[in-house]
Amino acid sequence: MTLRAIVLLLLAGSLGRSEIVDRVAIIAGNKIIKDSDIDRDLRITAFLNNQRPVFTAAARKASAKRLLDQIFIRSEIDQGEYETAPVAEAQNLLASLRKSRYANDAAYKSALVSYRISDEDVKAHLLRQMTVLHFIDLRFRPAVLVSDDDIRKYFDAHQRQLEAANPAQPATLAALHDQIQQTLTGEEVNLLLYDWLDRRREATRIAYLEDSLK
Amino acid sequence: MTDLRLSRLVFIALLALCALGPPRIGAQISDLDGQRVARVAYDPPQQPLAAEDLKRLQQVAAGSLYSAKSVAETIDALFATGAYSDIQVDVDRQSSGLAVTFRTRTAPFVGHVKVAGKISSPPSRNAIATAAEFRLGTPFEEEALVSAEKNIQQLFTSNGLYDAQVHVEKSAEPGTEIENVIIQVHPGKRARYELPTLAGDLKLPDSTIVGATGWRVILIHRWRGVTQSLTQKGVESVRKRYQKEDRLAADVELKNLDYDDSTRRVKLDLQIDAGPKIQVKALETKVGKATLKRLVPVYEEGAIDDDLLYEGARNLRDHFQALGYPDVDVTFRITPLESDQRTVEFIIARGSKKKLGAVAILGDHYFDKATLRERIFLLPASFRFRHGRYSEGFRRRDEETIASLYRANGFRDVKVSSAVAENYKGKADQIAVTYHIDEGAQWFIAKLEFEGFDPEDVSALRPHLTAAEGQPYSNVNAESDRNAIIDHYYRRGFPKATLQVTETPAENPRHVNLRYAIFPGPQEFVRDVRILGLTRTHRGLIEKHLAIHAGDPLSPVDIDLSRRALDNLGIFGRVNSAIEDPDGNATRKYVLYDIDEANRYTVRVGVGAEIAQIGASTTNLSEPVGGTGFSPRFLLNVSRIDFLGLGHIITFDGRISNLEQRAGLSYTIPNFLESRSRTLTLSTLYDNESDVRTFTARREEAAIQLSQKLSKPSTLLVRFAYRRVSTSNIAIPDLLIPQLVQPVRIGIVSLNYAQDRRDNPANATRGMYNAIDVGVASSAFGSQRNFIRALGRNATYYRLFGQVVLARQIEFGVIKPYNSPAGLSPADAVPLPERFFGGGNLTDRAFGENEAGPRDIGMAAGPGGTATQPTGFPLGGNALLFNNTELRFPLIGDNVGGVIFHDMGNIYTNLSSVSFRYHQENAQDFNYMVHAVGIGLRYRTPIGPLRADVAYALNPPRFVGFKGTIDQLLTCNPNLPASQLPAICTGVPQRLSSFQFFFSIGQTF
Repeated sequence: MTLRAIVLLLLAGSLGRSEIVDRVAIIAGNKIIKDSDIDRDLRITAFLNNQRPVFTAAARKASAKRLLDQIFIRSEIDQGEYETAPVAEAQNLLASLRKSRYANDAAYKSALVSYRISDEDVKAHLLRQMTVLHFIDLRFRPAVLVSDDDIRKYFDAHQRQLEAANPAQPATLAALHDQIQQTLTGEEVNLLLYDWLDRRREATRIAYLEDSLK
Repeated sequence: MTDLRLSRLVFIALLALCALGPPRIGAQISDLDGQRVARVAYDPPQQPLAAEDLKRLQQVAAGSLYSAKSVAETIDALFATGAYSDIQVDVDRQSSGLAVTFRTRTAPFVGHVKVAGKISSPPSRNAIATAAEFRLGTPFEEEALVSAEKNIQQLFTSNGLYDAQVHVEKSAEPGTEIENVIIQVHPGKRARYELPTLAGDLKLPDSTIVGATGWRVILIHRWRGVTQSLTQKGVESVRKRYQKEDRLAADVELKNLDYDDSTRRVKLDLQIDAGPKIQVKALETKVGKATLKRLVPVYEEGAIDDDLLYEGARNLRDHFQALGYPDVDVTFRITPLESDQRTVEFIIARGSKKKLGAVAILGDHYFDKATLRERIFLLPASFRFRHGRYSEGFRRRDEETIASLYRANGFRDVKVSSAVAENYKGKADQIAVTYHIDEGAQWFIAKLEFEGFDPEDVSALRPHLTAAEGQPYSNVNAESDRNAIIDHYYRRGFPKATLQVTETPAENPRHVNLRYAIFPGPQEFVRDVRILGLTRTHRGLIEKHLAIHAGDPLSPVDIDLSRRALDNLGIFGRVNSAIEDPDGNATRKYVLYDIDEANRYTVRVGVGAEIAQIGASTTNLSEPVGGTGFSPRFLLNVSRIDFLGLGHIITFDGRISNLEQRAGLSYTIPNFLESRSRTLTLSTLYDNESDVRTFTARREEAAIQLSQKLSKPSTLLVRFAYRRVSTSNIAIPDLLIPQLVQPVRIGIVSLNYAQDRRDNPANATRGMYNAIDVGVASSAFGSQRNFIRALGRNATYYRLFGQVVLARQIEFGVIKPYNSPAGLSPADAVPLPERFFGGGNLTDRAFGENEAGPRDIGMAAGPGGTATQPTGFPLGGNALLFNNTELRFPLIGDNVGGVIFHDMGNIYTNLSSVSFRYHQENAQDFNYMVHAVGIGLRYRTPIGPLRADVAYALNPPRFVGFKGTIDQLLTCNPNLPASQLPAICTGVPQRLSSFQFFFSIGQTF
């Protein structure tokens, strides 16, 4: 009886105690990242990767960095008036994901519930990702020029790996020309993107209200 | 049993940890969703946003169901206002439901920036404040204090103040989220330059380069104090020095500044590449070096490339075409580098000189020719432009101008071309230009629709819109309407308003339906007005001048109007205005006025000289018309502004010269009785003036004056003056006219009304000016003389054609004495300094300054006495009438003009003696109209035209004067028989010179 009383008392104490449900975690210029943004990002990323969500400090830090990059990119998309990716593109991507992973609608919805996210969250996330990909393509790809000389050098340096990766076809320069060109272009675009993001990060006043995210 | 107890205890301990441990973040977001919200609170309760904004942005409400998404959206919305630097949301589970608390930290904003400490300019106080880079009303960041300190230190260093101490700190404005910034500076001593280090290919002696820098004072060879502008100027001067040597592409670079703190000297390292000599020559046609420098941009840019040379060739071609060589051909070539020299040769085949005989327009139906011609820059040959005005550049510009005019009136497909015809009217030296206009079809607006507008807005906007049903349609006009509409919304607090203009084909051909759709966005309002930076000025004075108040739409136009009104008070050094956090999405915003109070005292000292016809010699009376003299002049003006913090002004004004000694003290109350257009002035004055050659007038005066601006052109002024006037240094011995020169007290009330509708008061070309001044001097006001004084002036200006202006003015004045003191005739009842004097450059150019009107013809020493010896000096009169007519016309280009004028009029003894008579009856008659004709030159300057006039008086007055000194004059006792008088007592007939010359600034009227 005494024990029950103590338990009830403590529960009552728990009822009267406040908990932080959300807060500003990072300020980047005039934009913010909230705890709930990081939480949602981790859940959606885990859902898309078909993994269990992890909320460790390292995972949260990585998510915060991703979200910061998205802020810079979104701001550039707005300022440069780049077009948003077609909604249908994101819907098709989600449809193929659902088809490949879930037997029916109920299974998909059950998965969403288990990840504590909504269908809208996933759609919006995919649409943002597609828009970012479009932006990268439009913003950085035109600046990349891969010469035949670059392709030949790459072929010479990576011939063995290329042969191993393409057992079905002859590993000649001519046959792999386009594939190497795509790889090199992608690498160069990535370099340009990272460089641009670094510069934006330096130019933006970023305040971390949670030290663990620094 | 023991195990069970142990497990229970562990369970209890876990619960306790849960109860007492740190708050969890976001771990149970979904657990709360759907629970009822009992209460929403803010911590602190006093929030930076207005209640309306808070309510609008808050997505979580008491009584509703909790949603994590709504909480997140609320955080986003609140943060987007810019009013917060941190937001955290706590939830407390209570038996009645969830208690949601937004814990916030307010974001600070930049307020007043004050620079304290002694300033050693440069840099000026304003430059220091600017270097700190704090912008009024923008978010305040702590790190900015450090960067401000760094920037200011750098500014001091670049100005040679290496020992400067700078400390920047913030200071919260009580009761607000504003952080004021205080910049405390101690500049220390300024370093001086020393001999710079010169490196590179110099090609000039070191001493020449050092001399060119200007860093050392000439002759005394003392190094100057370092300033940023002197350093830059020095480098630029070295470059110009090289240009002088024809090294046009010389490169002079300041590489380094080394400061030696033991000597407090700065050594500058200059890296110089002199480059080759580049000569720019004109071949086949002579072109002056100054013209080449003006037209060939190589000199200005300090570089040689094809673009600059092509531009030079184009400029030269336009130059020669404008001079009447339409067929000029300009090419250029550059010689290779040889013996440290390159030459740029412009080969100018000028062709023969031709006149632009005619400019014709063909194919125009919609506009009349006059409308088109006034937009065309080409001009046929005329007196003013001997060869006309022609160049290909002008011709192309005219084509575009005409086409734009048509397009703006609905002719979308208009095409304008032009052709040059040689041998115009069979003359080989004449060309003609014809503009061919293919108007095309005109488009009209069939229907104009407004979408999203309030009917009131449509009514207010319609008069300002160019688009209307049935009217011509053009994109240009639609764009102009867009600006008008957006501006209308902007003024009413809709900063995010956008307009969509849609044009669709209408049923009728060549007609469109036009739709203006407005998306106003949220309307913003003034939450309150905050005034920063005041230390002594009364806040009430500021508030009286604000056109914007709490609750008003947030209109940038009104905010700026108020800023200008405050600036116009003349008591502030700087007035800044800003909207606090302009980019934030709150709808109620603070308006900030940051004020720097100006120095209270302004002292101006001036030294000058005046060359004029200065007479009034008390010893020699030979020149009653005056002689050219020199008068040094000293001026002192001390003003104390913002007296008592009320915006009042106390001014002392003193001047001393041979002609005038003057001291005045005035107290001015601007915006009297809360009217911005009303000013009250109390003044005292001591004035000793000798501008009339006959005497020196002394005036001791106290006056009160109220001026009221009735409308933009009209001003009314009421004045009461009480003064003691007396005369001294009288050329005519006072014993001869004792009553005239006795000191008298005058109390006069006057009313002045002026109406100024001139387009430019300094050089009017159209409009009119009317002024009337009526005063009553009466014993009721303590006056010892009673008279009424009225003076009226009417001037009108007409533009006859082109820039030819006919200007005319008539001025009429009368002084009517009444209740004259016993023993004084009405004519003599008005003291000399109160009479009208006139003649000269502003009234009638037949006379020298103040030489018009009655003169001393000798008068009886007493009743029935004999007339005294006449001196011929002006005595002034009680009536005046002047009429001026001028024909003003352009003479050479746009800046030099000419004038032909006719002046007539005079100063008359009294109203009844005013006459239009042309001939002077005898040497004692001055009541006739004196005429002058003349010509003048005007050179346009920003402060008004420089004026040189020569006038020829058609009927200058004759009079009898006296060739001798005052002492000699005194020997001419009128009571002695003529035979006993010395020979000098014989009057000498004289006449005013027929020619008069005038130099001044400003038109005659």
